[in-house]
Amino acid sequence: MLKKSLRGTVGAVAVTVGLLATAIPAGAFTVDSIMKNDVKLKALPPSTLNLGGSSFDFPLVQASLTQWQTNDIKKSPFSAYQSTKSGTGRASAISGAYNIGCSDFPLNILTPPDVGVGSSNPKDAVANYVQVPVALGGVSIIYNMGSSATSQLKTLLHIYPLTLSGAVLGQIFAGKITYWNNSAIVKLNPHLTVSGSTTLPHQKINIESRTSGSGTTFMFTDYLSRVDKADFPAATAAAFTHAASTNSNSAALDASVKAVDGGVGYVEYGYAVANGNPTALIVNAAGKAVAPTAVGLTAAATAGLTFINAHGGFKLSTTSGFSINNSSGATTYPIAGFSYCIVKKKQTNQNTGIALVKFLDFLVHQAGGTTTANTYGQDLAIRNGYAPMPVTLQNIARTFLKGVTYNGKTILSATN
Amino acid sequence: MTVAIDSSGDTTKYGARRGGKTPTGSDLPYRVVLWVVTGFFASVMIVFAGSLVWNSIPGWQAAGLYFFYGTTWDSTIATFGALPFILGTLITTVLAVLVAAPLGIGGALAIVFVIPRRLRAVVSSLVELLAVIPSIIYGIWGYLVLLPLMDQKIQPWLASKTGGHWPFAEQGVGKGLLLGSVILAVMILPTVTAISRDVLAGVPHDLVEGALSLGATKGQVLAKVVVPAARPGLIGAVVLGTARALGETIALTLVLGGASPLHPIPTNLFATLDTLATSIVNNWGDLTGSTSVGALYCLALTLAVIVGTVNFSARRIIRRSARRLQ
Repeated sequence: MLKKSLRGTVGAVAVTVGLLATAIPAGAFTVDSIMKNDVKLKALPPSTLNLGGSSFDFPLVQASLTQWQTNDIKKSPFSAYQSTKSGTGRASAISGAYNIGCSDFPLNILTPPDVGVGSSNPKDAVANYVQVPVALGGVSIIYNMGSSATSQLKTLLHIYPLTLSGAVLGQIFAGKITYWNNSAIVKLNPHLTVSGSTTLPHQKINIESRTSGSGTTFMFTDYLSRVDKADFPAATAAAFTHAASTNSNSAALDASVKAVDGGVGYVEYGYAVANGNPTALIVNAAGKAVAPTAVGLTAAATAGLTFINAHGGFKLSTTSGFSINNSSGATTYPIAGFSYCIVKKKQTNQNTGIALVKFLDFLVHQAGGTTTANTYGQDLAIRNGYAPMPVTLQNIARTFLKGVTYNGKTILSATN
Repeated sequence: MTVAIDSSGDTTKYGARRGGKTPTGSDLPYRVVLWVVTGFFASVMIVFAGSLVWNSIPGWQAAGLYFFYGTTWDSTIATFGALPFILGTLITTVLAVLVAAPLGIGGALAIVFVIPRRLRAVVSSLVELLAVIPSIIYGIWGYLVLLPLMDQKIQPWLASKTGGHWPFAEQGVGKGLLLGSVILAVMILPTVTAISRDVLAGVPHDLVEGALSLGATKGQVLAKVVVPAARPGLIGAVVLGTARALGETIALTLVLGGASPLHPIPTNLFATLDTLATSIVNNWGDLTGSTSVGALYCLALTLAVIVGTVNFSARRIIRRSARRLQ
């Protein structure tokens, strides 16, 4: 009698366990329940993890890292973000020097390629990496009118910020417009006049460029190639040839523009906000002058992704698959783009893989309506000079993240 | 070989002193210590030089001779032309030494022979204090104080003097060759002055008194007796200043502005440029991939060779100068 009931109990338990085991991977847990679990690490990686690369997404990634580490992690698994340039991010992700390499454009977009035939890693392939979009930012054009700017100009600039169009920007950065009181710039800024004559000074425009390998340069030249094809035939990460001086990262470029009379430069909007640089309004494709605030960036992302989805879908293999520059819409900021974190697809250490994936998941997530108490990465976007990625892109990022594996199994799950 | 055993009990034969303590050891411990120390320093130098050469091999393989005549440095297309950096190093150093050497030696002459004795100690201490200030502080001072001055007042004034022609240009951006050389000169001036002052103070006083007693004026004494007598040491002082200028990194990184893509080799005093040291800092993001790292090591090796050559030839000049004095 006992044996039979025991067999029955064991059988019932086995069936229940079996059902639960199949239910878990089948999505019985919601995205938010994974998210709640992602701010805790059950075990630390064997050594400190490194991340760095693009200076375009440095403010957001570092702020998210700090927030993630204060949430529940007693000992930080990551060292500080090394803000240099996208080229370093990609090269270091490939070589393994960084566990997470950040770049403003994906692998193998420019020649020579990063991996595969024709690169210095011919046996490697893009399929060995997972590239996750993590930030939506805008390239702001910062300027410094110089010591010859009159106080009238300074007052006027507070009310009517300097307005530039894509064509004029192209001419400036190609070295064809060399003075701030050039007629083309004056025409775009009719409000910067006093008694009929312009207050813009006869000050030489000094272009501050990044050194070669910069992703911000790529995003900016991609925009210029759409509005001034004659001067900029294609997107490139090389330094601008007519630059007065070159700078190794965005922070240095920002400081240079502030220090040099007549300086003009291009940095992610977060730097301009943090350092108080005057930022130009850019005339977008609809003819409206827009600032790189979160409203303009969100409009750019929405319009840009709509266009991309209608023309082949979001993909990281060609520029047209991910570029949202010069998107349509009255409130769109025209120079915007996404930044990507690159990790190796097959992780060799479980705790390392879990830490990487959990942090990136935290970074790309935004608090839903039910979890306002928590602050995730995308919630920190606006206050750092970015905009939260559209939810569709956050979900795409989450899908890409599921591609990171350890021993053939997806790391991103509710049990890790 | 026979060993005679002396059983007389007289121990003086074996080094003992009558009535004193027997020395218990030989020279061996001292020799061992000295050889160990020498060996340590020698091995550190060998390991350092060896690793510098070894790690630069991938860079030489990628760059080849183009390193010495090429003008484009772009690690993304594996192009490593370091001529602008080599020329930048030499030009900034030469300009700085041209300014600092006469000023330094003149200042030292003033301190030793002209300034009243009561002030001599104060001025000497001030100069020595300036000589030990870390170069980052000169760099920050140059960036925060001199750069706006240069950009807004000095460069426009200089440009107006020559109408925008050589050696100045139409407009400058503050950063560049002029600012870098000025800061370098300010940095090596106290070094040159302090060492020259020591050298000049060491000139035998009877030489000076003898010349004065023959009716020479003070100026003639300084020019024809003191400076020639102190020449080897003065050359040494200038060489030390040169070595500091050649290796200066962080101060120049802040104020040189990086090589301009259109004109990598500076052609006028307002040009922005890179030196070997600043190019290593500015390309710091390239610390991955054996080719890019190798190229950085090549820059370091080139700089080490330049500094070594300057020091070596200076030593020969000093030796020849000293010989001529005998």
